[in-house]
Amino acid sequence: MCSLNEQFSQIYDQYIDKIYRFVYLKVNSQEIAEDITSKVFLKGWEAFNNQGADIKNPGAFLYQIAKNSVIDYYRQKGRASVVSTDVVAELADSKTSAQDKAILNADVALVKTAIQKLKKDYQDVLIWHYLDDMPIGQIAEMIDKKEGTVRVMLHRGLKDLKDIIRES
Amino acid sequence: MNKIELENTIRQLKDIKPRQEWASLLKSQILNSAEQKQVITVAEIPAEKISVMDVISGIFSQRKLAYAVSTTLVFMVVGVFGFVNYTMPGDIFYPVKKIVEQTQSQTALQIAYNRSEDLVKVVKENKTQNLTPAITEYQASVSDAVKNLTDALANNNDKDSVGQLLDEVKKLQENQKQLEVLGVNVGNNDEMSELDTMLKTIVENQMADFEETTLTVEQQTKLANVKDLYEQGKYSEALEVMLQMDKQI
Repeated sequence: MCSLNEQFSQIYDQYIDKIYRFVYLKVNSQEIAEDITSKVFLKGWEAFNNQGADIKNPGAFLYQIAKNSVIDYYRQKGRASVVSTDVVAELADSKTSAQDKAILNADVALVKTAIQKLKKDYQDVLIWHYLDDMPIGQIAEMIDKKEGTVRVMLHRGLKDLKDIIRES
Repeated sequence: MNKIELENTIRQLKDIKPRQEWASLLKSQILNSAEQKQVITVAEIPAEKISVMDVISGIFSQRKLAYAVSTTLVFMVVGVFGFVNYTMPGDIFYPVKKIVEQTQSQTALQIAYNRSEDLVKVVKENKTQNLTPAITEYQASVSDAVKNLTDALANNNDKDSVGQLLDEVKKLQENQKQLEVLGVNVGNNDEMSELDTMLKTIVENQMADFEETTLTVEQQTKLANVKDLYEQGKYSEALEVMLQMDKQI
């Protein structure tokens, strides 16, 4: 039987990239994303230590901590919990990071910026479905909504994304 | 952009990943924090009361002062050179450590080995401020060591030299494995690939030589083992077996 350390180590390996990417797409800063992601896993480890087997879905648990941590971050910065598109534009790094330059082409950079302007709920479902390859059923269970609702959110999210890209 | 193009473009954002060394360090910090329990207590040290008379009497003891200062300086210099052995990349006295290594005429591999020891220590002790310099120093030292080894293997075909160089190759490969076990990805893939290619060439040449030689049954079995190791890409192990076979011929 795996020790707690080994179990959490597997969870860490499985989710570190996903949680980091989830946070990064919301804050658009490597430094802030690392800071928030560290807090997510530290809190996750604390909870895992105390509750262990009671956490049925570690992924959903970590994503929830991540969402709350991003909200806390914006609150501390004196911004509204629902971030307006104008504020998001200001949050963007003034210079494209080395990572962006190395990895992202123009279209991808455009989509990345557009995602940051989406409604929070649409951001989440798009990231989970297209980047984390999460099935719609799993997303529905995670956010406690029906599968049909998640499909609609995905459809509307993509539509809003197209509109934002067209406007830019 | 139509829907399919948009979906494909979104999926390209999967390339956004955290820095490897940051992720490895965070993991070790979280998992080690559970194992380490540090209790730090701070004891109050009563302040010494120094009077004006103490200072004046000190000034008048110049000869004694001179002896005391020079002795202290000698101990300090010796202490610094002893102390530098414990410094890590990123520390103030670390350049002194590198100078000491050069004056001791350490080989490129010994220096790479020292850097790997430094990096292992930095990771185990969670010295986050030293991690990036330690990785940079290690990468540079391995690059030098591999270059030296590759040149040496190309220029030295005699069995004794190859045997000695093979020991050094194995040490380097063991260092890399130890760091990978600790979750540190130090890169150096191009250099290690180049070394692998050199070893592969040597193994192929040696196998061709053996196939033209009359071998005993035992040696034929060993040669079959060598071929298996070659197929698995374990060139240093294959070479080791062939060196043993050489000694028997």
